[in-house]
Amino acid sequence: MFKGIIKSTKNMLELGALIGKLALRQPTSTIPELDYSLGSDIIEKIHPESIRVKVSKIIEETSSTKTFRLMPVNGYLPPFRAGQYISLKLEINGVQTARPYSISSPPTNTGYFDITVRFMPDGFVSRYLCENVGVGDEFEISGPAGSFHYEPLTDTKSLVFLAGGSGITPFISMIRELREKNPGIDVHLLYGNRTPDDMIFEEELSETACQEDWFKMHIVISEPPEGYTGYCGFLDSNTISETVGDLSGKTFYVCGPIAMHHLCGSELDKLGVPSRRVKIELAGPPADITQVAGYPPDINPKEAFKVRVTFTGKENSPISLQASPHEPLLNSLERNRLKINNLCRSGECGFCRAKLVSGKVFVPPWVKMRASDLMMSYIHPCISYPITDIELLI
Amino acid sequence: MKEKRAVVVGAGLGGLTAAALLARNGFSVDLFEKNTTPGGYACSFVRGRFEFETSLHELSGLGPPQNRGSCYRLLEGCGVADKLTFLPIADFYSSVFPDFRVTIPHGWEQAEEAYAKQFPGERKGIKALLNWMRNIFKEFEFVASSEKITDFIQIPAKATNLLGTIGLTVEKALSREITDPKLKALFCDIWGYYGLPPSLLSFTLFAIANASYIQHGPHHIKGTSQALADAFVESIREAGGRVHLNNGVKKILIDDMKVRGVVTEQGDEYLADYVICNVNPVTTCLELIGTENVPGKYLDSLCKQRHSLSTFNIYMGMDCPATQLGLSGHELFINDGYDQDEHYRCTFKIGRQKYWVITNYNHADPEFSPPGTCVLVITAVVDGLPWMRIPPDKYFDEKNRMAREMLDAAEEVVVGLKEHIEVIEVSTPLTNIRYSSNPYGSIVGFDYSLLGSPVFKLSNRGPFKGLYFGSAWVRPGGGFEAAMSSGALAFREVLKDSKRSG
Repeated sequence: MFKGIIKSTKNMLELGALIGKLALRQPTSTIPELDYSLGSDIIEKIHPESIRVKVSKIIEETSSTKTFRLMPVNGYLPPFRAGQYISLKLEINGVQTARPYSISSPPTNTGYFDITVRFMPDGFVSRYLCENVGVGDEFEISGPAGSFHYEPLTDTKSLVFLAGGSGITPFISMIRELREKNPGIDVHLLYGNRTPDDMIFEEELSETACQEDWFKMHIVISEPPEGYTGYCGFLDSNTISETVGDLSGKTFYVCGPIAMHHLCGSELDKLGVPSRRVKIELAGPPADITQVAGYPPDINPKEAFKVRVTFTGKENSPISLQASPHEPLLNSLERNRLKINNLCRSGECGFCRAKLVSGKVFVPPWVKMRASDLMMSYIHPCISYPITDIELLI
Repeated sequence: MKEKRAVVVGAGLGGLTAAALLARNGFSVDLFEKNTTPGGYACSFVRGRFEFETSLHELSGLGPPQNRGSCYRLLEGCGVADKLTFLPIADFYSSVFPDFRVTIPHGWEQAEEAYAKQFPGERKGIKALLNWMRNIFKEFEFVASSEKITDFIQIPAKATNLLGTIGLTVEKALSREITDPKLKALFCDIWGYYGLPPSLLSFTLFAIANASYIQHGPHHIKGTSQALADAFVESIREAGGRVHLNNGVKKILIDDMKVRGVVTEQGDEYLADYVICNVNPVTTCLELIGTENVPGKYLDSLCKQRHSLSTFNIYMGMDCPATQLGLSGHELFINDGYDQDEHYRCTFKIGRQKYWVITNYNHADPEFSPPGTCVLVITAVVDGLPWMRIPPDKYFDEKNRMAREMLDAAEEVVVGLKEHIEVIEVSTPLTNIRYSSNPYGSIVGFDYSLLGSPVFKLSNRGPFKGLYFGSAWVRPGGGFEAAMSSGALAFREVLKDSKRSG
């Protein structure tokens, strides 16, 4: 009992002291504005959601490839890591869409971002960019994103870049940066192309190979013209081991068409390279989904499925449209003038995430979904193909 | 009867809880979230073949099926408990100090035994301390469940232990029962969860929160805390509520000191009688309402509070199982020494920390990552301010420098760690700010000092009629369980007012 009284007296004293402190703590008359706004200021400088840019220059790299130099309208660009991409937002004939492009200029050039685009005859966006965009045109881009960059925390200092066609773009940014400042890294580039004419940045790469001790390059041609004397074939295990030699202690980076990602991935595995030493860039949708393992064989190529989309807040006016089972759902939605948030268009970032209320979609087996997406049936329309009629909630 | 319209701003745990309860109680609810996924800090992300839990270390207050705790009952009330699978974590925590390594299990007797085994001379004090905390927790549960005036008038008599803690820091409280500084350090080794060292931390909070872990045992959620957030969204939609993602609120409309509704980022106006803000009150006043419209007295009350610590995380997808690295438990707290004040001072600098934790998510859920792999996360509590002062072009360098120093520290404890990292992602206080808008990237809102203890936390009522707060920044405070409780408290206030106005 006595002990209890002492204890509660002590408690009362502590409480009294506290109340005293509370009364003495002088509030300032306004919120310390600087400290509180500082947070959003610096986030806007490092990770802006959106940047307005203007095309300041267009460089013809090859007959089918152009580099677009994007200057910030307000004069400021955030820092990025060589290998990262931006998402270019654009409107083509009333269709609002976006595409991710690796930044091909190095982070050491702080005044602009270059993106290098290859013209694809049936490419909705690449065609528009290469044929219709001129100096002075303005766009919105996302802030830089992506994890396909040199990771000083874990990567070795001996790198092998496996590039296919326009997949050279993240690598040229890395190589250009290393020419400016190289912390002891050596690079071996294997650059695969269909024909020698398809090579982008050929001159610059050859010159770098001549001038820089740390840089070696092998060009690998899959459809060589008659009389071609260079290395021919694909970036398979033979090519890799013949050109690179000892693979131990090397970190491999792979960027190119999706078929090449899969080939290189399995070939490196065959060669005994541990998966932690292999980095593969996000792929985007495959050229032909029907060739992907697991795609239902009984889907009629001419079929179109009914898609019913409900937007939250507009429950009374759902939108109905038709979607092909052969193209990503996101493209069908955009073609029907729907504006859908997106960034990577490869199934990783989750920006386009939508609730699949009913029906089924096909998702390529390499796409890693969140466990909760599978539990509560969310899909990423950028990499989902309708294989029945479906209902979406966005 | 007129439809009662409510708007919830932010789909963090407090917002989700408030929205679920409102929707299930006849309110017309619109919940707005600026991000693409719901959950606030409660979310996950994918890199390579790994999915990472962003923030949850241990969920408190669930309890085993035969004896559910308050957090489970709240999740039931929100209609989300049966949508989820909860995985019990075997132990409460494990600690590494310079000259001993101990695992503390949950359960009162088991915990006592573990502490006493390491410090046999202090068994009596350990028992008394745990008993004290147990009583505080019991009284807290009574207070928290009090609704009628007849309950409230009993509080002074029934909650003497709880009320007695109000002026006590953890250090002061511990000193009453135990003496060995090493035991004290071990006893409060999870202080990082609460964002302040024992010399500054409110014992009221510490006793309640630790008791909730000891009594009910910690849990992990199958599918990460993203599944928790998604389950809330399901429940809200089932009850007729609308969850708007990718569409934040940019303005709260105030008329004549009363809330009228909100304007969204997409430019739509939503009128409502009740607006529940999950966004922190500072950003709410500064950006959503405008300080010029907020009563000075309320701004003063914000200024009396201080922000809590933030976090620095290294998320790692490993190409080997955790056991291969000698990690067997869920979570290991690493301490360079016993002076927790010194560890705390270290949180104000960018670089190697003296106190940090490594979590192995495959321990509670063997299917957490692909077979033969595991996911490990290194977390250090750090202050957000030094990070906000870095020039933008130095950010990646500073982030990498600290990560490298932390990995070196980790390698000393977990030998072979660096050789097995397949995927790595680093987050800083700026990452927290970016996704949550929380000032300084705070993890538990305003700090849990004596003046910020659950007793003195800001009210769930905002400075205007019809404006409420449900988040870590107001009563009862931050942490998963508390943030959800805050949403429930905000809901309770709305319900009271709506009944009054008929």
